Amino acid sequence: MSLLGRIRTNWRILLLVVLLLASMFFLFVPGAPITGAAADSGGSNNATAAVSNIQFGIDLAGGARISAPPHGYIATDVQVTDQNDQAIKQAITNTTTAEEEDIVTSVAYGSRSGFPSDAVEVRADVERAAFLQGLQNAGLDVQNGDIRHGVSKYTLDEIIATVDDRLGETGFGGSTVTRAQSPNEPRDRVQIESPGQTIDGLKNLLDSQGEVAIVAYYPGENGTGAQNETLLTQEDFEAGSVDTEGPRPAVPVTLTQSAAEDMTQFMQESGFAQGSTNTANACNTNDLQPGEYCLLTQVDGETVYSSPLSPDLANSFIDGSFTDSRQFIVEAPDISTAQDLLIDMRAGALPTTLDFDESTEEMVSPTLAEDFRRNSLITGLLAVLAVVLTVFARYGDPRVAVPMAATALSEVVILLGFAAAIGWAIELSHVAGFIAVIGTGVDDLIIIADEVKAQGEVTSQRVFQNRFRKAFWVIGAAAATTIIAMSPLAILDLGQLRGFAIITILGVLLGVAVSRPAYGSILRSLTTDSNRRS
Amino acid sequence: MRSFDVPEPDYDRYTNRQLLAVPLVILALALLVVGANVFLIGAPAPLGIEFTGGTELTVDTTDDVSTIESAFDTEPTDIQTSQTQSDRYFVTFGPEAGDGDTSLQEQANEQLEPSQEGGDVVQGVNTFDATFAENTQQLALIGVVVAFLGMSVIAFALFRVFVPSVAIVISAFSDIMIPLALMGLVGYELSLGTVAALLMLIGYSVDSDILLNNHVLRRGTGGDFYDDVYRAMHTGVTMTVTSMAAMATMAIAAFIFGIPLLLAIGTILFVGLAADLMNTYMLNVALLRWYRFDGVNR
Repeated sequence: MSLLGRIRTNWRILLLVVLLLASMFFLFVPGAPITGAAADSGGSNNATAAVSNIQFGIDLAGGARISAPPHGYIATDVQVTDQNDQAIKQAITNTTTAEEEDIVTSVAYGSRSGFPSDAVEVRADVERAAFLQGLQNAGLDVQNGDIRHGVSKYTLDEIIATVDDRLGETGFGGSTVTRAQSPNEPRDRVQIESPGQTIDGLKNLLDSQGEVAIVAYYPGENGTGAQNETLLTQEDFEAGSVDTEGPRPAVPVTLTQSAAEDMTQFMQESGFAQGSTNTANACNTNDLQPGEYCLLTQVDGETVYSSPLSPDLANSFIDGSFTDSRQFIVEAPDISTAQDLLIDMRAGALPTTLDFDESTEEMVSPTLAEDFRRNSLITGLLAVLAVVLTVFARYGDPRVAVPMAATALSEVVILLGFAAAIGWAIELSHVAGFIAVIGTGVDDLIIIADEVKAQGEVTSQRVFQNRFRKAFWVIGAAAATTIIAMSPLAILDLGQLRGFAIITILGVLLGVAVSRPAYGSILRSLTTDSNRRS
Repeated sequence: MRSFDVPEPDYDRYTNRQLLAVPLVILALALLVVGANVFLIGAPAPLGIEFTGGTELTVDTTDDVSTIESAFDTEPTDIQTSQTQSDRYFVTFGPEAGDGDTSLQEQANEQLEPSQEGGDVVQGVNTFDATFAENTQQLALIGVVVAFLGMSVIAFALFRVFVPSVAIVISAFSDIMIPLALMGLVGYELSLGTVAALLMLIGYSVDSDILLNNHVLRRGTGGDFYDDVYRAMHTGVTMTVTSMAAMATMAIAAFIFGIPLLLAIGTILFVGLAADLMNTYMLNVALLRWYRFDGVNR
């Protein structure tokens, strides 16, 4: 037979071999063009197995996963206009614990993508009934059914982006933030996955809203008492990196032009700049005295540090040269506070906090993950061995059994290669999926082998083709049912079940399209060749 | 050299009624157990924390079970010991545990002695919120129902005759109900892993049924009914026994290593596949024989 002829008759085997080689490349060649988190971060922070490009998920690599809903309620289908906007906010602050800045409406947000055109959203941990009462007090026609426990898609996206930035700034490498797959069921959820971290570590990072404000503390109108004025929030400046050279750790910031002008105007008109040059002031963070002129650094309304204006800075406000430099430094009591400040400044504030009382959490320590990794591998290998031994015991003929075991294993290798290529992190449930794939795979191979060997020896290509086609009807039918049975799980948001279902479906598709026909071809060349020779 | 051969039972000696009796009685018993459980506890088998809400901690500690029991503000609902590591425990709590000021993790770290000097007590945490878990329960139920309906539709589409298609559906239904009833009897919890296994049973169960129906109906050799059945059995029993070997091995290994997910899947599939052997080669064969010799002539 010519080479071309051989290729034509054995193209199925060839396709399997090509896929196998490609998988081996993606699995084992360092620097193979893989996508995903490992590629993004140079693989340094990721739990990649030492000998391969396979990435592992939380339960096989160690780390934490939290899925938590955001605090807040949204009322839709309400008549909110420029005229009643302020009154609505006022009414809600009267009935709930929310502050005015926690309430957003379609008047300001309606044009933003993902925010409804007729909604009022409260971004705080409030009571549903109190929110409803506030809306009704404002004269709106709202029923309980118009209110949903959750936030708009716009706000949810904002939360996800902020959490993502915050994780990035903290150096929680390889972390991912996504919205839970099924929205509003029963509440929106934000899902955070972080390799190598603990639940407590993640919660510490996420439980604050992270709203940084620079507040002026200065004497009241008649020179007595004290008053506060918020000058800057983190949208008004760019933060540099933590500077530990000076007497105190500090974060240098550069203001936007308009913020610098507003701040200079305040400093001049309120007499703050003048006042701070005239008075000796201590500005003790825990013991502020009336009459002092201090700049307070606040996070979520809590003062973390306070300091007087330096004489140089005060003068630059007085002569207006501050609008050119636009720079000053925000001091902190210690390095860790400075670093936290920097993270909040750069990542921005969360629109609302996350409700950890209704969260779903998973944490696996590196030790436990290593146990899982090793033991699930051994378990999988033992299961495969059991399959191979049973097949040998049943057929006795290595010409049938050896290719059968090899074909079934090749399906797993190709799936693993695929997972490595697209940067898919392998979880424990996937391992169960792989074992299921081997199980259904071998089932189908047994059908092919029995069909081909039944009714006497295979004497010609035509007889073989005929029998193979008959066997394939059963295989196709069985594959269709397995895929139908697994597809709801692959779509529904059922955690680890999804991975299991997706692997099983992919395995069945791969098996029907490539490896099981290839096994037929192998069997044919083995059986017909030997007949020709004898 | 073969170490095992598929037996050829002498179907001629039994009437259809006799063949049907055994699987149907067992199915009825299974339904009784499942029904009783639904009536008593509101679910076909005890529900795990994924469906009820709650927390499971994996702790490595030198302390004994009674110390662990008293270490928390809320008493654990269950404490299991690892098979391979004598100082590893799996501690389960109800949904309301750990809502106080200190989390369960903190309580464990404070109250228990780590097994490695300076190491962590808590090695793993799984917490499921109760409302979220309830939602998961509904989703899982929808998943199972849709999967089963989808399978039934395919079965009818493939064979387009009533009795053989119904045989596939009843057989798959029974394959799921028997392990489910056993779970209820021995108090094995329903988890996402066991639901996955029950669904996987649909796939495995249908394999051998389709094979049998195909050999008897579609192949149209017009030959002896029993020859067709035996040929299908040779292949089908080999398939099922191979899968059972794999699942038994997986279950035993996962039990020894303490991997609950793989243990659950392995055990359920093993039991379900054993049930499938009975259902396919008694119930399904009897229904096909009735269809072939009596049903078609009417």
